[in-house]
Amino acid sequence: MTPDRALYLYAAATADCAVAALSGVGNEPVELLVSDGLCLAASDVTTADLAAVGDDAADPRLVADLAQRHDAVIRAVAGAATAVLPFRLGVVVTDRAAAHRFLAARAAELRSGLALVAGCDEWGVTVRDDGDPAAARDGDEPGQPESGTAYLLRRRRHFDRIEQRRRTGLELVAATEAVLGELAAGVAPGRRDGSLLLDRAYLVRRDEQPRFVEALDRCGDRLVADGFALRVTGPWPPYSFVSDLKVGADE
Amino acid sequence: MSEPLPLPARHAGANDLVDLLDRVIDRGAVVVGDIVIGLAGIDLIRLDARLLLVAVDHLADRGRDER
Repeated sequence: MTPDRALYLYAAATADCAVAALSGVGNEPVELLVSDGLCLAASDVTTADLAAVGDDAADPRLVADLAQRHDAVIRAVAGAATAVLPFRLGVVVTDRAAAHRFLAARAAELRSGLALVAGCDEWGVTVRDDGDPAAARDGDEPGQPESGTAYLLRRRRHFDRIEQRRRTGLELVAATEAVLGELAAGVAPGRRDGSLLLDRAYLVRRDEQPRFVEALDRCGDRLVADGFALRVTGPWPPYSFVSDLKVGADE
Repeated sequence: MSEPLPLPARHAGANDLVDLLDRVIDRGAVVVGDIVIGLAGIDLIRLDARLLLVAVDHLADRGRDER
């Protein structure tokens, strides 16, 4: 049976984490459960409140509020620890004893996960096609009646230009990926990979961050000149660079 | 080396919120399991990610409408 009160888990971190008073989900105080060089950021939660968020008819603002509180705690922990391993929204265990057992059972995986992201933040980068800036300028419609030959030539120029622009886009995106990939410690695909020319998350060491941002500026300028828009979000905690902690029911 | 800047706290607009929800619902380490499972005495309770994603789509639509 689900208990009335449980423990919400935000992240695992190195035990050097020291956060000042911080409130989390449901405005409950966040505490750090420390064991053997690792800690879990956690706060008490009323399970009925969480169930209400997941309800089909729930106000989506409840999810937004939960997500923002979740993220705010992880950011605070990230700022106070050598490394943080963010958990997905809604990881809840029954009580502190269970959290400590989890920490002990998964210590090796947590340590290797933390080592991978130590000293790094995540940046989101997308490239979208904003439309050919030359198309409006040149105009595809004739101002006056034209001959059949003129029509065919105009059609061919039109398709040549579309093909040329497609190639330009692919080349620019490939160049952007190469430059950013060189500076990043890791790359992960984004969720909307299909509808955009590029959708990636980059894991970037903080000491490489100035060079990474500079490269983003250069790539962005080059892309925008041809009507492609580079959008950057970050820095984020390394959400896209942590792997799942498998917990089997048969263990 | 200069001291790295702490991650800035975020006050998200609708668009940023979609980026945030993409991350916290779709990524981040999952402690994998069903609604309540027993692992050496650990009872794990998880929100239903499918329902959360429905809520995200509502928010994304609202974000587009406001633009």
